[in-house]
Amino acid sequence: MRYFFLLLKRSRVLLYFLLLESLAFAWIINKRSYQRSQFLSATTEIKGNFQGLAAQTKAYLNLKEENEQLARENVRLRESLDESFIFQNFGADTINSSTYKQRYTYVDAQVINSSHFKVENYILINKGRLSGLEENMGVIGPSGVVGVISNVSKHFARVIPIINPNLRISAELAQDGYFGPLRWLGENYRESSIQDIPPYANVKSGDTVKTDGRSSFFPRGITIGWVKSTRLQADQNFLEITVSLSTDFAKLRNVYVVKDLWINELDSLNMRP
Amino acid sequence: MNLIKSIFGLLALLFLQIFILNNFLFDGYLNPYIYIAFILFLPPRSSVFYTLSLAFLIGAIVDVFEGGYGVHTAASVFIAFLKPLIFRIFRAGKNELSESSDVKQLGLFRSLMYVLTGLFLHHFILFSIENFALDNLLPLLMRSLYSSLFSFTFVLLYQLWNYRR
Repeated sequence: MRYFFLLLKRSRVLLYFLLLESLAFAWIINKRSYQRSQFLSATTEIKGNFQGLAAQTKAYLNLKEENEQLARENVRLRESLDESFIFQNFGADTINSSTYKQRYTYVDAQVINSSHFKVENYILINKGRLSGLEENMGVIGPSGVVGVISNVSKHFARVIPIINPNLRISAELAQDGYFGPLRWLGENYRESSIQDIPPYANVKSGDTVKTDGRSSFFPRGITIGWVKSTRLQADQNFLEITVSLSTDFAKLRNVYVVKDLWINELDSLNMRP
Repeated sequence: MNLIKSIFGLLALLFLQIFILNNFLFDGYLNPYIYIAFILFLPPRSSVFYTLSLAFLIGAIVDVFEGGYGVHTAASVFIAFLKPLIFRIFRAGKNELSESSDVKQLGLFRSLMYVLTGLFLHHFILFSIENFALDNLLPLLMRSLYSSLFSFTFVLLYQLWNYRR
């Protein structure tokens, strides 16, 4: 113990210097957004390398359940393929296939770290800039919307999930077509809420809530969850809807990153939120 | 009396930095930062704690007025920490240490080189923190060099004015 104090005394100048420097850097990182994003991108890379290993082991243990989930998703996708539909031509009309242009492509990735019990939750995935990922790309899971990428490093990316109060996306009631901002209130990771729905909307519990394509993060019609209950907002003019989320963030493993191929064209019109 | 004089000198330097020099960007991107000269001109025997605290204070004042959010603070604390080392390098061969200021002790040429080195390091650290990444190192070095030469002229002018008083 004596030697410890001796060491402390001998390096007091260095310690004082480090204290002052860390105060200055805390100031910088808290207040300057460019430096903040550089810092986050560096820490994302380091954190990702450490946690990738642990996630690999965990993924192996969950293999059975993941396989079932992927198989279910395959079935759903196969059902929506062209070959799943019967094409009947009555001779009168032609189909011009060039009217359908691809807008979205997907990159698959695995979750290597995530939190769902905190207020400001984050998810780390194992693909980064080298796989073509960029900031503000949407992320979806096998059962629905997951979140939006906030920081990208070379091999990893950090996702703000919809269970983080800093992320707001636009949500639509599939039956009625009314839309409003989806905002997480920071309590239960299975539930979120939509504000500003007009009171005359005919909302029943069990109605599907989907993305509405107004934000360029996600294609239209990706499931967010189901209506659980409605109540009048504090301002008495609009409804607030509690949504039970379709994605279970406690067991999320495989995700898909949505790449919007038309993002530049939309950007040039300032259509992004 | 000496204390009052140096406080007055510091205030004049900060006034010059904040209200005059920060409002001009010479040739598009050259901004002289001369407040660090106060740290460099502190007597070499002064305690390191005192120097570090003063550097923190001065940097914080410049940051608050310029909206730098800690950049100047970090850079000037760094220079205050390096100052004894830089001074020792330029003092090599001269053993006499008196309480007088650096300029009288080192002789003209060495003291000019000492100030220039200090200014260059300060500018380099400052721009590196603003850049926050170590890619494009060469432009960073060139920018630091030009800016520090530029600041150097201002420091010389300031010193001339100071000595005539």
